[in-house]
Amino acid sequence: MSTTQTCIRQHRSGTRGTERYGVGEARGRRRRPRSRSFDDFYLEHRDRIARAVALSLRDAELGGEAADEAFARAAQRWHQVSTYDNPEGWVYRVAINWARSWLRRVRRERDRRPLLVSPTASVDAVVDVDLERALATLSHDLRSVVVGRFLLDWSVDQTADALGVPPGTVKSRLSRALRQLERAMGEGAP
Amino acid sequence: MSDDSELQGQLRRGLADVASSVDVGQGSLQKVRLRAARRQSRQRMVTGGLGVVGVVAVFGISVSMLSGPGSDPRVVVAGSIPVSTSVPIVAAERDSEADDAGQGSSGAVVGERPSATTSAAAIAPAGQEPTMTTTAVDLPQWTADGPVLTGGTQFAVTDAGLMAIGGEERLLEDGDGWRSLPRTPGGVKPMEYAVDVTGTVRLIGIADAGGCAAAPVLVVHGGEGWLAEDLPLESVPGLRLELRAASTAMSPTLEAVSLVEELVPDLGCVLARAGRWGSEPEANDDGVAFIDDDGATAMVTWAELADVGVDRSLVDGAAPSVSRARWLVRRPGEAQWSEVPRTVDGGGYVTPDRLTYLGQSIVSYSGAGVRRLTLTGAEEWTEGAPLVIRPGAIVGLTPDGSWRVWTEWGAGPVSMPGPTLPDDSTVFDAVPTPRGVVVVFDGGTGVAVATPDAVTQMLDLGIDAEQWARLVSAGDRVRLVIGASGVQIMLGMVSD
Repeated sequence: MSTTQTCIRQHRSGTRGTERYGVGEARGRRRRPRSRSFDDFYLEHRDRIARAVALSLRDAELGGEAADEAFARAAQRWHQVSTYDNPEGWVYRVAINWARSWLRRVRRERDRRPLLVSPTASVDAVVDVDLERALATLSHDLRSVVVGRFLLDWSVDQTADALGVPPGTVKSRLSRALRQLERAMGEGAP
Repeated sequence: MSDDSELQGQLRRGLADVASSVDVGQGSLQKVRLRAARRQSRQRMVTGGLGVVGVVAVFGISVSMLSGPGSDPRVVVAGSIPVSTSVPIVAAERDSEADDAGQGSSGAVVGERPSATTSAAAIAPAGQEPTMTTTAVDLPQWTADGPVLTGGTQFAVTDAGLMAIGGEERLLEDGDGWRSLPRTPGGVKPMEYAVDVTGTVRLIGIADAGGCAAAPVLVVHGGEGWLAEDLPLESVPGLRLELRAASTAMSPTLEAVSLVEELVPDLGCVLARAGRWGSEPEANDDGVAFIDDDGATAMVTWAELADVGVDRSLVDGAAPSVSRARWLVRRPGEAQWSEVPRTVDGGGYVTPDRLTYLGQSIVSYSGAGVRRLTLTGAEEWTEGAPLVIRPGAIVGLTPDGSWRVWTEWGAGPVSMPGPTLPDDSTVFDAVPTPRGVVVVFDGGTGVAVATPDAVTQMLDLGIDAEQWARLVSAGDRVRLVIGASGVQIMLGMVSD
């Protein structure tokens, strides 16, 4: 079996969607009963998730697009997503994954078109303030943790669920992110 | 620790401020619902036959083994797909919550690049179909060992690439159909095959009935590598493709490269219809309306369409083929739809999708149109001269009559001696192809080709200008078949 095939199988045998976001029995949690409609969920969380994704990606337009795509997927399978403890986390992660895939495609595309000049600026970049500049110094992974914890106000466990990493990883990333932000903001201070 | 608390507090406040200043657009529940429905529709379509292409590649099954007449008269596309050898296929498993949220796109390349293509062409009298052979890959019949290919191909394109579909969706709608598909012997589940279109698949497609019926819509094109996955084809519901060999005499393995002259512009129509850019063309008594998601309508009147050769009789009762009319585009973040002129200073055929790309890298776009070129070497092009922007290339005619082509097939703008055009000719269109630039001038009464290797020729079509003009005015679609040996033309009705 090839390596790639092995990877696929490992992936299949790994955590499934129902085991993430706090609904798997293995994690000692129960599905929570469906208590709200998708419409309510969307209206309540869309902008918040979109902004969080935008901050994570540092691209407002892509953030909105990715959030909408993720919400569309959530709508498709709302009967299941709604049972998750943290459906916002699911949406957030789907949005991030979708956006990163899209960005990969764009990158490949540009690689294939070397004759075309590079874009001079991202579209609709978030507002340029000290904090935003500091955030920009973080890697995507670190930024996602910061956004999850401090913008979305998720717990470490919720952030871990949403990002698909162990809680310990969230903590270590958070620690590194804080140190880095501290330095970056300190450098930017008058 | 106290420092951390302070920093965390600062972060919470700061992030909230920054986030509130981010314009992520207006969320629209209706739009998301629609998007979900489209996804659903697309998945149903995709589940109709996933894996056929992949299996063709995996098993090296030649499409020449298959036979059968074309079944859909709307589909009269000259096309080819060199899947007779092996096509790089990336097998990926998706369509589950876990995959959506996880690393579902991991995959394995399980094929090889196809061999070099050869050319083929067919010329048919006006009003008649070129003699073509249907490539056949029929409804997948699934066995324990995988799909059995039988005849009558339909292909679909999804975000993952090219899909062969069968139409018997029930085959895959049995419960959690995707996951119930049998595995291929290689251990890769034929759940979803993403064709790596780079240099691999050459295909011409046609849209299903709907907003852009009877309009060729797609080139998934490899080799020289232009176009392809930059196109948001995943948003095209109901897209169906049928492959045909260009002639009965050609290699049954379909080693041909073909392009349809009408192909690329119509793509935008479908893309618009797909809603990615929020516009759905709708023919009515006044013309063709583009309606965006917010309900705003922009209209291209029948008179305007007639100006660019689209007669209502070709559109009415079917779906509009408005690509030759005008593009109404909206840059992400902009509220208003704008018109991109067909050939102006810096304007041209710009598909919505391409505009995204161009908008970031080539053309500064604002307001009513494309305003400024930042294209490398653009100084060689004189403002006001014909400039045609197409997916894959930008073609400009310089004052000295030569061409500048910015595309992927060479380094820097490719300079080509211009085809011998009459002094007073008006360039009607320029179709960049991997083999050269096909120039249609004087309203379609003339055709010339300029090739990258600087061989300029007038096409000897055996068709005089008068005949050409008559054919064009009669509404026949003209298909240019670009092969290794040059360019030939097929004439025939695209739709019945």
